[in-house]
Amino acid sequence: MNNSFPILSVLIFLPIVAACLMLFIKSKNYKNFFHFGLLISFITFVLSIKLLFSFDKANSAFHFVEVFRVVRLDGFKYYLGIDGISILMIVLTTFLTPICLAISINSVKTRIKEYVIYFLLLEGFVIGSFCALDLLLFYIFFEAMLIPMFLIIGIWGGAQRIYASYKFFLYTLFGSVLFLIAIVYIYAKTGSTDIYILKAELPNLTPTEQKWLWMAFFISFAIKVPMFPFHTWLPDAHVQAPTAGSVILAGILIKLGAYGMIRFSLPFFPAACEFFANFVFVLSIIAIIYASLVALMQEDMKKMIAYSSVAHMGFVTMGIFSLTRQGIDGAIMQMISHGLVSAALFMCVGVIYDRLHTKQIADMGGIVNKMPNFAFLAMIFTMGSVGLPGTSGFVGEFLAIIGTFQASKITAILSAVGVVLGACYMLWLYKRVLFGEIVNNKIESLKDLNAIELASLGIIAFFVILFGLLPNLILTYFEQPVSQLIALF
Amino acid sequence: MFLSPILPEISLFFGALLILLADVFFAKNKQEFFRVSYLIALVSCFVSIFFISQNIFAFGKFFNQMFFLNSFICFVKFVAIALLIFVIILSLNFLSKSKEISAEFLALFMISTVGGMFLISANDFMTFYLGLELQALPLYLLAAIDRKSAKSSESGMKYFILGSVASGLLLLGISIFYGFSGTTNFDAATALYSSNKVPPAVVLGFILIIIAMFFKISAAPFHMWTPDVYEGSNTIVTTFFATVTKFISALVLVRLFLDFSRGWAGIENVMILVGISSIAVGSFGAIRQTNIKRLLAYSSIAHVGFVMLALSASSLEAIKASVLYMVVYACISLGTFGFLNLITGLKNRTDLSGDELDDKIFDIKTFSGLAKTNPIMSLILAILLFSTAGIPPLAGFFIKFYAIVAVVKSGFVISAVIAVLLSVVAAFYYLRLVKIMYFDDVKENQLEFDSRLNPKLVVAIMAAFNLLFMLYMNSLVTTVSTMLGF
Repeated sequence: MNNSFPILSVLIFLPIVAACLMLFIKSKNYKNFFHFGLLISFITFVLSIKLLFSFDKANSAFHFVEVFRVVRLDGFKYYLGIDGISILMIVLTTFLTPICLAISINSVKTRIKEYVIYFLLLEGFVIGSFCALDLLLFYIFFEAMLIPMFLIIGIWGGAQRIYASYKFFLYTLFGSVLFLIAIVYIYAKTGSTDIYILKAELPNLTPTEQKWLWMAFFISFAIKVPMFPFHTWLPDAHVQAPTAGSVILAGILIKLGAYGMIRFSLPFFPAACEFFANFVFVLSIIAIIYASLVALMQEDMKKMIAYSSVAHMGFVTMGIFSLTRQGIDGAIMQMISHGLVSAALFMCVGVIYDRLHTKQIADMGGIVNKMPNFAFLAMIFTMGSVGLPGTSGFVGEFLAIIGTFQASKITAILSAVGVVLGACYMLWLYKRVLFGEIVNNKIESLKDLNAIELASLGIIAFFVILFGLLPNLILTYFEQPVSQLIALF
Repeated sequence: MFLSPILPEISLFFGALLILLADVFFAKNKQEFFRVSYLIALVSCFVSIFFISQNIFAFGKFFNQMFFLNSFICFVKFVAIALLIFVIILSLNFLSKSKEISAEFLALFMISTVGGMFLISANDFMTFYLGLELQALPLYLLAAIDRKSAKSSESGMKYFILGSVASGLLLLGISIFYGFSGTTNFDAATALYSSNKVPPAVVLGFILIIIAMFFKISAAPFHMWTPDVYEGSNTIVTTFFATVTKFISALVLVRLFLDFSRGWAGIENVMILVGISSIAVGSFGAIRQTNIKRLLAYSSIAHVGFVMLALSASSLEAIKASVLYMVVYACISLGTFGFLNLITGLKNRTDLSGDELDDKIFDIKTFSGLAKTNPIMSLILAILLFSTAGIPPLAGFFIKFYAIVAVVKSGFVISAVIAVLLSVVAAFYYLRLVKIMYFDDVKENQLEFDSRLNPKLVVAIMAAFNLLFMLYMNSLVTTVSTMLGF
């Protein structure tokens, strides 16, 4: 690919500019807005695929680097580039966004134009934060995506939507301002926010400074992930958000926290990472076991899957702070796998909700009799979530546990307990919702998946199994960046 | 020419006098008079800007060292008059609506601005005091300009009494300062105290002087008048308070610091105290407000707190940050208050008038569902609010970032942490307004907006300024640095 073509900027700003243009489009037929949004997000997807294939896996430097001098504030500049980790997250984003829009066509009926605009904006901001090679630029995208997400939950959410959207916004903002102070401190100390410069300079800070800065970064990212004890916003946000909002939240937004840890915390403060590793292990184990137990007791499907997200993300943080190759590989793998699986599970809940207008587990049963295709796909995702060998979930959890085993045996053993608990609640959920007798008349009249739903769930299921069988397809992408990280420890 | 340093002031003042004169000739035809005075005001502003641009590299002290000019001061005057022009354009709605008030309030705006220009140019406490009074007296009149409104009279009275107390403190401070230093001239004082130790009494005198400025820019704990006056005054007057007056007064404070108190022991503690308490008062005070003007008043208190905090660092970078902050913040408030100016009334509610109508219009509940009835206007307000809250990538974020960087660099990490955490509290009430506009259902009271293009354009430009700030931030920072002379 031609180096002078600013493909990353195009990826970021295509959706954003399209969203701005939409403000001026008027149309009576609301589906036109969806079609326009789908078109834009599909073009973005195609571009990102092109990026994926032109990516040179063996080269360890950042690819497609762009620096624009237009935006410059002493040390701060518009500085983009991607490595093997970010390219996968970008493709995940561009892959899920059109699916989100597609599944909303039939379920979202009000204020369509704004809905599509917010999703496109969100896509642009998320891609931007995965591309940013400048700490402040990352922060800007990281913060900016709060606005569309806040509006998506608040406008199209459930009954308690306003409470949930506030909780989401203020919780995340609280974390981000700590992050901001850390950035300001770093900027004041080094006079730069460039990642390359910071990688070289920050490890020279005094240990106390490093620990404080690490803590500020960590709280911000931990809220986003979310880790125990900062996880309480997630179930509310998920339960209240519209289906597509949950998909994007679970699929992409919460990955940003983990991404931040890999991209910033590890290379900037290696000493502090080692110092705090056990602390993170404890929090991760609590997240895994506690969230699994809580998930067992939920009566709302979405809430249960939300808690399962907390548990699964526990494996991610555990893997990252094992500071071993397998651990970090597993964490990244788990991020991608969980992005696919949880997104699909939320879509499954959405499918049922659109038909029955309830998310209570007690109202369901025997759905398999009426929706065989749905039941089949849901089985794949349940297995992916449980971590059955052959699905992508297995690879991630397995690698994360192996990595952790080298660092701390007791943590690895306890996390394995979490895997068992995960099987318990997911299988039990599946049994209660899909198997058994048909419990009421509404279920009697259910129709199976329509074409859009079948296609979007089918594609995701395909990838879940593909990555489970051939994990090397994606593992090779982050071989180089992870090697660089490991070299620090 | 002998008068050339003060030609900008003279031309503006001359314009004000012309408007007062025109009042006599057009007494019969109000509409005609509005048009003429509007035109005179704009023309004299542009003439004044022309003279400023002539002066911009004319350094020097004039009139027995009483009057000072340098690029920074010219820059401040330039921005102030630019803001004044926008305020005059926004006043179209007010001009056409009011039946009783004549256009002399334009003259008052201009006279007050002239006072501000003398204030920023002052090189002697005598000029300083005169400038301050010339700036303040028209403001007392302006606050009370809605004669029939009880609230407006109340706010005028309140502002007058508290303003007089502040003037008194200022005079006391100047006397003490003079008593111990033997001079009222800035240069003489700088020369005296750059080598010698500063006596505590002089510091006390100086603190009394800056208290008068704290009062003008409504920094806590001298902020009590702000919510009442902002709410009670006519919206266009509030806009003038929040933009031109606040901008000049804050920069006068910056100039005092830049000129001669930098590095004085103890001053930075005063600034930190005032800064943090302003941010706290602004953030917590706004939470319970239901009137949007009061809410924005508290928000402006919080923003002034950030400027004070940046000034406490007293490094060159801090001064640059606070100047930048005030320039950008003046534009943000021009946008938000300008937005309020665009509101002409309520649909289907002709039964209300005066204070009752105002209470209804500016009740934040009236904004509910605005996004459905008027998507463009609510988008503009949302951008401005998010910018005020400091959400990147809008302008409000970068100025806060710059201020905080300056504070951290001078080692006041704890105050920076407190300030930033308090701004999360502040984000809550901006969000509440966005929530009301976007999430709530349309209520029976619907806002009606001015249909004229020019005032709308002003607000739209300010929103665009916030949105695209990243693109020209660098050149703005460079401009400010050059103007400051470093």
